[in-house]
Amino acid sequence: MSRHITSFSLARKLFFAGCLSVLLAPAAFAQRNNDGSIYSRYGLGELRAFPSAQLQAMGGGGTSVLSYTYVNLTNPATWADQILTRFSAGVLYQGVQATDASNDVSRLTEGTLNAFQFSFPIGSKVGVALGYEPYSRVSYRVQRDGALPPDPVLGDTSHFILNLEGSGGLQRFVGGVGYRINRNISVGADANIIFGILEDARRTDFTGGTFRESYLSTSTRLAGVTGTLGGIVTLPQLASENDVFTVGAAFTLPATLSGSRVRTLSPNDRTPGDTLETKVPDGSVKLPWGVRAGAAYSYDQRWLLVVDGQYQPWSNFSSDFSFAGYDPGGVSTFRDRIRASAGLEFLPAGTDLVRPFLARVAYRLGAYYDRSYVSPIAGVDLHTVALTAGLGIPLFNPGTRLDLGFEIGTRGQTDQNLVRDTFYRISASVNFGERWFQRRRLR
Amino acid sequence: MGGIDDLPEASTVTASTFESDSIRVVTGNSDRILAGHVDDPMLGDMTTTGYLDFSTASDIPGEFRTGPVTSVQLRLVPDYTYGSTTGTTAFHLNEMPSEFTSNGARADTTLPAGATVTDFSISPTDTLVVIDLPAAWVSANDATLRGTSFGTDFHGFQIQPAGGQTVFGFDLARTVLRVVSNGETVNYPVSQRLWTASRSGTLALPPNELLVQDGFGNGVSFDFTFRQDSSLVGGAVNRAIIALYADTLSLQQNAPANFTRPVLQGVILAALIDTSAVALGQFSLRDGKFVMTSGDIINIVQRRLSGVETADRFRVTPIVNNTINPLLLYTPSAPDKAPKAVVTVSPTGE
Repeated sequence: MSRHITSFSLARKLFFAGCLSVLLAPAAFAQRNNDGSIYSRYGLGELRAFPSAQLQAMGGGGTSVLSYTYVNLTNPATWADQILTRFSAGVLYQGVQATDASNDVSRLTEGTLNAFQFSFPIGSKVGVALGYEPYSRVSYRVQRDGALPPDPVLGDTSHFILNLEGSGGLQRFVGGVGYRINRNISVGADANIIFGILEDARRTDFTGGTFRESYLSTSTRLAGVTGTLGGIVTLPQLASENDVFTVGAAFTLPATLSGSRVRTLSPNDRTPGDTLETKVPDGSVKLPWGVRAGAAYSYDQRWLLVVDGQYQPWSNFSSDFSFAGYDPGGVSTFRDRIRASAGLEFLPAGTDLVRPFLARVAYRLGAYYDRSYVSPIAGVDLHTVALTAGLGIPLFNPGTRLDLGFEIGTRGQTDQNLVRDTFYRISASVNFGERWFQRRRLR
Repeated sequence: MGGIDDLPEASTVTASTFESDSIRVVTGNSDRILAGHVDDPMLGDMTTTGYLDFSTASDIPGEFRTGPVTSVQLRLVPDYTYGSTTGTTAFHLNEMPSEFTSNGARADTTLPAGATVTDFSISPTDTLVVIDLPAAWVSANDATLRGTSFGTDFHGFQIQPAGGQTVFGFDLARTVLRVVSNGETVNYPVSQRLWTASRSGTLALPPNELLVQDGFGNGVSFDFTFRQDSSLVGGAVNRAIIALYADTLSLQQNAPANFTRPVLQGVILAALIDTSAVALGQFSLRDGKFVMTSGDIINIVQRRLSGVETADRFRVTPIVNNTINPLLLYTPSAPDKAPKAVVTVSPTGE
């Protein structure tokens, strides 16, 4: 005799997931705070990625990391190894302190949705994953003032204040499959839908003289599809009986995003004036290909060391639309992007689920360097250096964890009239694991 | 912060076209009529002719209606002169044979006039011109002059110059037809009024200058190729100034002795779209130039820069003040005083 039993905690988890989605929904739409880095003004915004809550706290790499607990969005080949059906979601809180050469400081904060992830196994060799994560983020607010030279007719002088604001960004839906060919080799492929709206606004106010203030907003919609191919080679017992060494690589195809842009120009004051809405001819944006590779060494299922590298030739970027730092047919300050990271995780209890609580917490540390794909000034690189840390905290069910992440770093410089961002990020993700679509038998 | 280059900036654009234009001036129902003749060495031979009609007065005493009418005076109050400041100018006072309509009438109107009632002359120093109408004419029009339907039965006068070198303007608020009948005096006020203008001969203007003149409707139309300045294209216009430079010295220095030539002080700027004109404002001459800026000008320049063509060209014409005052404007060929537009834009990154 057999009966089909659904886990008695499933309803509770679905209820909790629903509450989490409701709580996260306002954060998902809270992307108009304009309180991020000024460098997100350039290009398509500040590039973001969320490999997994675990890897985020370990420097953000992990192309070769296999995990039964987390879904790794960097390499679809890692989805081959799954046991549980998993769902995770997280939020991110960021603070930025911008300093210029005069040591003037401005502080901005914002909170956003981090990512959704869902995955499940099909048999013992195939795994499917779906994810939603930010691809880029535009969030800035900057003010600059100055004076106009004397007017050649009136002879008057006037001062202006230029306010620049940006919001929005691109998101990525990813879905794909991983397949374990044999004990040592896994491959995978996914499709990415990249889409979003980039919004920029500039308002010019004047003091003195007979000027009309102006307000210009530009809204650019982009959408397109690309894909990633990945592979992993697993070498167990390379140096000892309890270790596993993996190397992995993933190649992301170049993508063409179709787009449309609308510019709205209106007076900023209340006197009658024209509001012009101009639809710029539709066009496209061509994103470059990308490649990433990495290695991971796991020992005794308690220690994990990860190193990673990423390269994207953004100097090959082309667009029918202009962006800050890029002019179609003209000057481009885009550079090839290089990212390197390393991270370490220590889980004292390993796979022992009856160890004390603190032994079942995962402790993570990492660091990364990123040479940005954009630069405010041609020939001047924009460097980011950061330290990461995190905790993976087991919750009420063995398959469920709460992951906290911390990050602190600097970006930019104060030379050449630029600003240096000092940023910190705090993230929180909940990771559910459950056996779905499997019959249980009671005898 | 470095890298933010999209700061507001001003750019100067010189007029690409600048040519004579004209409008038909409405002189009917004006507050002043002109009459006179002047042969201006710079502006040609100009003749103006005035037309007056009168309406009945209120509170006419009963004895006035009884008659007879014993005297009629046309009392004109000069308040404007153009031309010679010495000598006298002769006029024919002609009777109008029928009613004329002055509502909307223009300066190039032609009206038939009747026989001359009397001749008179005016000196530039006169402050009141009293014209006594002949007794024979008074007697012939006795019943009409004191009748209850005077306003419709009487058709007014034409004031026609008979030579001279001065154009006079008459303040119609103080102009009356004074009729004395049976010892009672009644002042009939002006009702219909109109003046016409004609010019013969050629203009003798200084090089690189065009004429704008009141009364004759002379104006100038011009345009700018804003989009040829790449720094302006796609920008958000914060201010647009159109500057036209005037030569006031030539009008003063090239006048004959004892000759007054008042300079035009105000113009109307309009945007021309096909055959329609949209007024953009009235502007006064200051420091030898017209500096024209308004929200409407900004809107037109903004649309031109955004590729939305809303105006074929601009035009300035005199503010109608019932004078023949002239003004000379420099053309784009004039160094340092070429007509220009100064446009301040905030770049938009397009």
